[in-house]
Amino acid sequence: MRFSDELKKGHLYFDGSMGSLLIQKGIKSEGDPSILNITEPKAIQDIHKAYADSGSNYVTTNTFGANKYKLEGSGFTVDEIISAGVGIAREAVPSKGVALDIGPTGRLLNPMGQMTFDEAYDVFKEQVLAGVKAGADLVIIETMSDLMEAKIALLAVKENSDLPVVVTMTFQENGRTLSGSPADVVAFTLEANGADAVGINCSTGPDKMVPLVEAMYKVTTLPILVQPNAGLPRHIEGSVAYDLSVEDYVPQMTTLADAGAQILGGCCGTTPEYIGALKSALIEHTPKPVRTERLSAVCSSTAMVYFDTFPLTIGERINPAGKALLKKAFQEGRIDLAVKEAFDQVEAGADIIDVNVSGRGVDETAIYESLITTLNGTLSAPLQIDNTKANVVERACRIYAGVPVINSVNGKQSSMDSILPIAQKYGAMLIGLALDGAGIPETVDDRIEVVKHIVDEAKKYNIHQSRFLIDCLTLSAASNREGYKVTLDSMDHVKNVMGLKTTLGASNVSYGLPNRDLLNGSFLSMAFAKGLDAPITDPLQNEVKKAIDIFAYLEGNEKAGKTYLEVYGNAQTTTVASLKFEGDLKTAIQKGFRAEAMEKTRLYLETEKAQEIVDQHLIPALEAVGEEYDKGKIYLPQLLSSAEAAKGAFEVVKIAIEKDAVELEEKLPVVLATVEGDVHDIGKNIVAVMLENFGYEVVDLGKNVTTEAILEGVKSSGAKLVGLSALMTTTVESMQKSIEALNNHYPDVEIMVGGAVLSQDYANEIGANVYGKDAREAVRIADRLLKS
Amino acid sequence: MSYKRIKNQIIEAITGEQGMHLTDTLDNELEALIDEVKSLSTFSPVSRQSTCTHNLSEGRIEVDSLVFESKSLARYIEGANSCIIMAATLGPRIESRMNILQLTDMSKAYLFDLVCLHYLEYCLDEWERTIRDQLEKESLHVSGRFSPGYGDLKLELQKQVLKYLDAQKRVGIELTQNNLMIPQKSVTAILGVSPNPFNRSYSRCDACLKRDNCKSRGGKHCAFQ
Repeated sequence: MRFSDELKKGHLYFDGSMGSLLIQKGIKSEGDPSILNITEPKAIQDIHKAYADSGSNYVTTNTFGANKYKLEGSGFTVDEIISAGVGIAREAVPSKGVALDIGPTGRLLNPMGQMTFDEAYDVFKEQVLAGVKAGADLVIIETMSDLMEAKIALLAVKENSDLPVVVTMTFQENGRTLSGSPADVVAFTLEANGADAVGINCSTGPDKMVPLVEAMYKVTTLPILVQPNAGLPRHIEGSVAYDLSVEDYVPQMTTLADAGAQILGGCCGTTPEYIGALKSALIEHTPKPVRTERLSAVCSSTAMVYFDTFPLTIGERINPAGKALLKKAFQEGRIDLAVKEAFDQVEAGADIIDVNVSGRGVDETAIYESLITTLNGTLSAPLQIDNTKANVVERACRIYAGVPVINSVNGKQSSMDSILPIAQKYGAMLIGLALDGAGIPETVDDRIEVVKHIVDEAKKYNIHQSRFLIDCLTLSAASNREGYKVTLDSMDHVKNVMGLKTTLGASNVSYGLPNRDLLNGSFLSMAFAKGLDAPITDPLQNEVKKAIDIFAYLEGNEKAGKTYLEVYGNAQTTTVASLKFEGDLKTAIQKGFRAEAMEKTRLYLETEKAQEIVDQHLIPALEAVGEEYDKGKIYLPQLLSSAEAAKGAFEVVKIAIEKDAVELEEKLPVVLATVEGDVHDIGKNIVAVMLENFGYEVVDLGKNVTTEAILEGVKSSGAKLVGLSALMTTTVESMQKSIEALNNHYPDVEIMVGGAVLSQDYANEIGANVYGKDAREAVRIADRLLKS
Repeated sequence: MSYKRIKNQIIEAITGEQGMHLTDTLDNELEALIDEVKSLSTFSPVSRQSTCTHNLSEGRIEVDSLVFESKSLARYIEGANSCIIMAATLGPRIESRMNILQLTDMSKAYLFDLVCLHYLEYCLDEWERTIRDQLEKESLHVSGRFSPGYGDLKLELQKQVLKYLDAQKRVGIELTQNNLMIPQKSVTAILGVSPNPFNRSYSRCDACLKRDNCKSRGGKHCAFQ
C-alpha cells in the first residue's frame, strides 16, 4: 500500500531503537554500526522481526551512518552496506514497509565546517541511489540537527527517487535544533521543499516534545512523526540507561498524538515492547486532522514571518543600482557591505531583506552563494531573492536554509514558465508584477488582467494565490504625474476585491526628485490607505520609517519595544536619529564613527583632492589614534573602531578616484594567513584591519591556508612581508613548514609570526624573522621592515 | 548571572590592569554583548563519570575504553579513583554570529570573542560547582578541569573523548582534521574524583606552555588552552 493511502487509515507506527537492542544482545560494532548488516545480519533481522511483530508498519534499515564519510576505511562501500541493510529488512518483514534510514553526514557545512552544499548532496545522493536500487519503500531522514543539511538530504531524495520521504530533526531543551531552528520553521521549510511527513526524533522524552508538535501542527499540512527517546539517558559505569519505563512512556505518547502527531515510534532506549504497548493504547484514537492550506508565510532558518499582520517592511538596500561602493564590493567578490546592510536594516525594523546582486561585472551566482551561506543561520529576517534569471534564482533558493520570497514573476509567458516551477519546487512565496510582454499597462483594468493571468497560471503549479504578493508598480512622479493613481487604484482592487496580498517598490515614486525621503514617506501613507501590506523600501529613511510606524500603530500591529508611544512619545526623541554629527573627518575617525567618516569624506571630496584627504586627514587621524593607544589612553576596541571608520573613508576615496581616473600613491603589499590546520583567525583579522588602515595593501589568504597557497600569494602579490598566525602548538608545526618553504623560495621575504602560543624565542626557533605580539606591533614591524 | 564578574574580567583583559574603567559607550556595548552571548549560546554539558585506574609513575589513566597517557594529568588528578569526562560548547549560533561580526565590525568582533571566552569559563565554573556540591554530599572531592592540549595530554585525544560522550550528536561538537573543535567556543575536560582532597600544589598552570610569560598566572581568568 502506498504511504499516502496508509495515512488515510489512521495512525501509523514506525519502530524504536536499533542500538538499545544490539546492546541487549551484547553485540558491539567495530567502526560504524551499519557494518553489522554484513557481519551480524541475523541479529539485525531478528530486531526488525521483533518490531514488525509488535506492530510497526515500517521498520527502519540499519543504515543511519552508512555514508561515504563514516564508512571511510571500513573496507565496505555505501552501496554494499545499504543493499545488505535493505535486503535484510525486506527478507525479515516481507509484508511491512522498509524505510531507508539516512542520518547526518557527521560533518559541518560551511561556513562553520568545511563541507560544501554540493559535497553533502553527493553523499546523500549515493545513499539514496543505493536504497532505491535495493528496493526500499520509503526514505526516512532522521536525527538532523542542521536544517540546511536536512534540506540538502531531502533534495537528494526528491531528485534521485520517487520514494515518499519523511524528515525528522532533533531538538535541544530550548526548543531549537542545535543550529537554532525552532519547530515551526523546521516543519514549514521541509514541507516547502517536498517532504511527505515531518517530525521530531531523539532529543528528549515525549513530554518535552508536546510544545514542539504543537508548533509544527500550526504551520504544516503534513502528517507529523514523533520518535522520542525513552526519557533522558543516565550513564552508569560505562553503560547507558533511559529513565522512562513502558508504563511511563505510553501515556506521554498519547498526549503527543492528541497534540497532532499521526505517525509514532521511538528512538534511544525504546524496544518492541514500547511500540506494542503504544499501538494498543492508541487503537481507538483518531489522528487530529491537519490544516489543508499552506500558510501565507516565509521563514529564515531561525524565524517565521507571517503575511497576516501588516505592515511588513521589505528592506531594499542590498541593491547595487546607484550604490557605487556596494557595486564595487560585489565586483570584487566581497560581501561584507551587503552583510552589514542586511543587519542594519533588520535593526531598523525590516522584516524581510531583499537581495539584489545584479550589476555589470558581478558574478551573481557566486555572490548569492557566499552571501546566503553566510547569512543562513544568523540573519533572522527571511531573504527575498531579487533576480530574473532562472538559473540564478534557482541556485539561490536551493542554498537558502529557509523559505524565501522570489522577486519576481511577471505576466510574460517566459517569465512564468521559468520562475513558477522554481517557486513550486522550493515552496517560495512570489512577488507578481503587474506587467507583461507589452510593458506596464496604462489602465487599472489592464493591470488587473495581468495579475489574474499570473495567478491563474500559478494554479497549474499548485501555487495558491495566498503565496503571492502583488506589486502594481510605481512609476516616477517626475516623469508621469498621474501614474501614482493607477498604481493605487489597481492595488486597491487587487487587495480588496481579489483578496491578494500587496507589495510595492514604493521608492520609485521619487526617482529623479529632490528630498526623496519626504516624498517616499508621504506616498507610503497614501498606499497604506489603499491596501498596501508590505512595501519594499528603505527602512533607514526617516520619513519612510515614520509612515510605517504610524500605520502599524493605527492597525494595532506594533512590534514590542518599538511602539508609537515608545518611539515618538517624547517629542524630542523624534529628531534624535536625524541629529547631524558636527565634528570634522579627523574627529569622526578618532571617535570611530564609520558612517560619519564616510559622509565627511564625500563632503571633503567636493573641494579637496583625494590624495590630500588621505595625507592631510586620514593618515594624521590614524597616527593620532595610534599614539593614544600607545600611551594607554585608548584600548584595542577603540583603535579598531577608528580603523574601521578610516577604512570606510578610504573606500569612499577609492570610488572617487576611480571616477576621476587618478591614482593614489601605491601601497606596499603584505600577505597574511592563518596557517594550515588552524581555524582561529580573529587575531589575524585584527592585524589585517590595522595594516590596511596604516597604509598597506593586505592580501588576506584566510584561515587553514596551505604552504602552497602562501607561496602563491607571495608570488602573485610581490609582497616583501608575510604575516603568519597560529593559535595551537600543534599548528605551529605547519607554520614552521610554511616558513621553511618561504625561506627556500623567497629568501628576501621577511616573515612575521603571531598567535597565542608564540613568543620571540619560539619565533626564532622556527625560523621566523620577527614576532609580532599584537596588531599595533605588527604595524610597527611593517613600517620598520618595509618603509625604512 | 554574575555580569559584574564577567565584565571585570573582560575589562582587565582589554586594559591589562585590574579595576580600570572603560568609556561608558564601551561599557554599555559590553553589557549588550554579554546579553547577546547569553541568549545565543546553548551551554549544556554532556558528561560521564566512571571508575578509573591510575598509574602515577607511568602517567597512565584508564576510564572505560579511554586511555590517557599523560604525566601531567596523572599528577593533576593524583589519588582519583574515578573520573568525570565532559564536553560543552556555546553552540553553533555563537560561531555564526562571530563570523558575521568579523565581516561587519572588527571592534565588536574582538569584544564578542572576549565575552564568549569569559562566559564559557564562567559557565564551566558554575557547572563544576554543582558537580562539586553534589559529590561533596557523598564525601567525595573533585579536582579542577584538565583538557586535552594541557601539558603532555595530547590534543589527539579529543577524538576519543568526543566519541565516548557521543558529543557530536548530543551537543554538536565536531573536530577538524587537526583536532580543533568546531564550534570554536567548546571545551572538553577530565576531572578526577577521590575520597581524599586533591593536592592543589600542582596546578594546571604548571602544565601550561605560557607559564613563563603569562599575565593571568593563577588561572583566575585564564582563557588560554
